[in-house]
Amino acid sequence: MSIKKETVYLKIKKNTQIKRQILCMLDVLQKTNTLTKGTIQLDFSKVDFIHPFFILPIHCLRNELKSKGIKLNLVNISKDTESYLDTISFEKGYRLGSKSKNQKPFNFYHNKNYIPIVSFSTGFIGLNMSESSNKETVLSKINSLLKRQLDLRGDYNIAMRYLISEMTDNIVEHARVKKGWVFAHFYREKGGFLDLCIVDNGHSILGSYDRIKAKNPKNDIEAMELALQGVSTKGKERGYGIRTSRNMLEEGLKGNFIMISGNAMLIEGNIIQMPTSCVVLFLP
Amino acid sequence: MRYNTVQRKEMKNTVSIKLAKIIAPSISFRNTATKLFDALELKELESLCLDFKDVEFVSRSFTHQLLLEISRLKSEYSISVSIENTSSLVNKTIEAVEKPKSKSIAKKVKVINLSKDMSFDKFLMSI
Repeated sequence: MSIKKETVYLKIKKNTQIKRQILCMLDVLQKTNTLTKGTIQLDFSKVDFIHPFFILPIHCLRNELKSKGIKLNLVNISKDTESYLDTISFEKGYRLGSKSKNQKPFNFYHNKNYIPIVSFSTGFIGLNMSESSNKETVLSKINSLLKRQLDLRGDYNIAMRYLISEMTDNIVEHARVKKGWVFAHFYREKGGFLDLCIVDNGHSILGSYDRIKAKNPKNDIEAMELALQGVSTKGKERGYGIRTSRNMLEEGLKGNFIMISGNAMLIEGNIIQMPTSCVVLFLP
Repeated sequence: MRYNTVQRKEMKNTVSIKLAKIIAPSISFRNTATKLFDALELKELESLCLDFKDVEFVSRSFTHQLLLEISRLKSEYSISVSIENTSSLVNKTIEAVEKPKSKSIAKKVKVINLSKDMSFDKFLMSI
């Protein structure tokens, strides 16, 4: 561990495959894991597009590192990228209900192809009905915005709401953190597809099992296997969320369900151990 | 947080909760169901109406917890609970959660143990 400055040179284009984005993100994480104090610079000179799968974890990580005295700076950013980051509220995240003049109204995004980075509270430190209602309102607005942007109808609308509700509820129920984040971008080309990213910086899945001393998975990979089988930390009647969401996305919507927890990654039906730990991340 | 209190002849104390208004048109979180009845004086309540008018979507998690809470209200406080104005989608969700069925078999996953010759980067790009 040392105090120093590290630079990560990023190369992300619009057609960069999601796997390359994952590798970029892991590169950043590996560098941050070597620092106790100091600065990480992300060089954006060869970045001409930002995907949710890359930028949301970086947003989340940046806030986490700040509390540990580590700066994560973005350098050599083009004006277009800077403007986009500002629009998606990369700096502080979009707070629905905030009266800040620096924040665009939510209906600004009605005709966009993306939603901003929105945080939702989990009520981990205690929740009354009013706060619960606020949390539901946040998610309701996200769902409505996506429905409008993507012109979602019928089963597609229901499927999207199901996915978002189950994955965000998992964070509320298990992650033991104050908030989670959602970010999405819709690409109209190639028939249209949506990148939806949901992140928290709490307990990993292994942490959830460890906390209640259930099933005793030895590592992140075993924990992920149990979660995918529907083995819940909260009883036999539970454990449907991840399993059914994955089925719905992959079988019903022909999408890709990617999940990272600790140093385990699920991608295309494979669970692999990553070279670095992403305890901060849970990404469907 | 205000719930409508309805005085009826046959029942002393009945409350109607308009869920779309109190919570949101789309209800996702399990702990919303656990918080829903916190503001009520349960010992004084005889019946409760859950009005789902304008509720477009309820998650499986919220519905499951809601049904548990309804069961608790009945058994611990003898409160009769009615559910009204549900859309066809909300009905389907309630029915799906109410029916006890065994979990379907999970889709298979393959655990990959990377050999010394295969780096993580190389493997990831190969699949």
